[in-house]
Amino acid sequence: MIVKVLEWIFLTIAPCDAAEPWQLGFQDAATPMMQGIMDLHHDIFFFLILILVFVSRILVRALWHFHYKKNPIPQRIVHGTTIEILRTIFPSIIPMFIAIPSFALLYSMDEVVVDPAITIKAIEHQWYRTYEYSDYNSSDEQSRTFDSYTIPEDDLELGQSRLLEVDNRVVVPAKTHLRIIVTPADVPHTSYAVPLVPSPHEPPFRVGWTGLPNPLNEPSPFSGCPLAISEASTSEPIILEVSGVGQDELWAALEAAELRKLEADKLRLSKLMNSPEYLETEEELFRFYKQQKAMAEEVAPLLKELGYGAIPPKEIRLAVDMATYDMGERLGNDRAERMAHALRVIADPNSQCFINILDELRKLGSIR
Amino acid sequence: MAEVELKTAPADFRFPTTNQTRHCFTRYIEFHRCLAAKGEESGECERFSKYYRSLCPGEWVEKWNEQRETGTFPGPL
Repeated sequence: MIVKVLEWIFLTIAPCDAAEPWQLGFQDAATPMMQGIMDLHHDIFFFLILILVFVSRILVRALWHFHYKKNPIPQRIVHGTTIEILRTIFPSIIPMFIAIPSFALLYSMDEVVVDPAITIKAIEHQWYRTYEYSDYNSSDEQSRTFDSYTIPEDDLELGQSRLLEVDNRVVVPAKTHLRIIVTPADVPHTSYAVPLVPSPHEPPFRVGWTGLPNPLNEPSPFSGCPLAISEASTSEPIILEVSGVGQDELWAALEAAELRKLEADKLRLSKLMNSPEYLETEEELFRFYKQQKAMAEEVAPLLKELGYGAIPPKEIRLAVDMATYDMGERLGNDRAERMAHALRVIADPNSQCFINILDELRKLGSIR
Repeated sequence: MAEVELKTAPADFRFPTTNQTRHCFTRYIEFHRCLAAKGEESGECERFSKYYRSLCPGEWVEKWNEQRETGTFPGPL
């Protein structure tokens, strides 16, 4: 009971740097780039407020004094060369003040960090991510690849954020330079990670490199702790889990993640296989196979008549299966018609299908 | 706890910007040119193989391997 209460008090809000409900400001920056963005934001905001206050003051003043009794004769012609010059020059100076830090930040975003310790590839699909850790491959086979899906709302546990949780987190070592290469596989979208900017834009087929120089320097309170990052356009959160320094812990964490994923998959599969729709489909499929078997038995003597020798029934069933599968795709779902057509096609020695089936059977070695 | 060394493809001054597509492609080509020049058994090409595997997404590598086999690879191998 006490544990429950404590859980509710301390675990409903993520203890690490995640977005909080009704948050007004930024999350803590995890890279100097994000810190630069926050500073730029403060710079621009200052000018913004300046202009806002000034414009609204002028507007309110004009409306206030526009009263038929108090100011019966509104001025019609207003000159003032000096003021006109000033109010043209001044607003063009303000964007210059904004542009200087902005361009500095923009070009610094394109610089890359030297000497990363590890390369992680994040490949964006519709609508999940695949992460690859391939630094220790011995051949072209995939190493440490896993998919990362957003946890749907129905599967969330207490304390988790909506659309900000994933099933498999990206595990990275702490206190190391990371190179994260982001590329889209079939989506032309951009992504950004809030405390870890830049996570780059990806026009299709472009592999962008995010440098995280000495990131995630936070000591033990944050190690093993996720930084939740959200995405603007496509709700594919990237959650990095910072593990202890060193390869062993990293791989151990990845293995644990893989095991968790396997367990989850097993559970999902067993749930699916026991659902009524699946069982019904199984029944139908079974009936379909029985029909195919009957067809195969009819076809066997026919082939014998045509002089093709003894073909094992299994091969005939295979051939019938191939024929009916194709037919089904093309003719739609009318099974009887499909079967009839398949039978005609198989029995007709001039049809291409028959020739293909015979080729397959020859390859299998069962006829000459 | 032994301090294990973390190594990966180093930053290449030929590709100083964030777009590393060319970097990945160049490493792949370098590996295969090394193979062609030095033979399959030489250990020198191992380095390049590690580099391109670190940088290039698996799908790209598979596609390029297929292209090499069919002879349609669009690069100076």
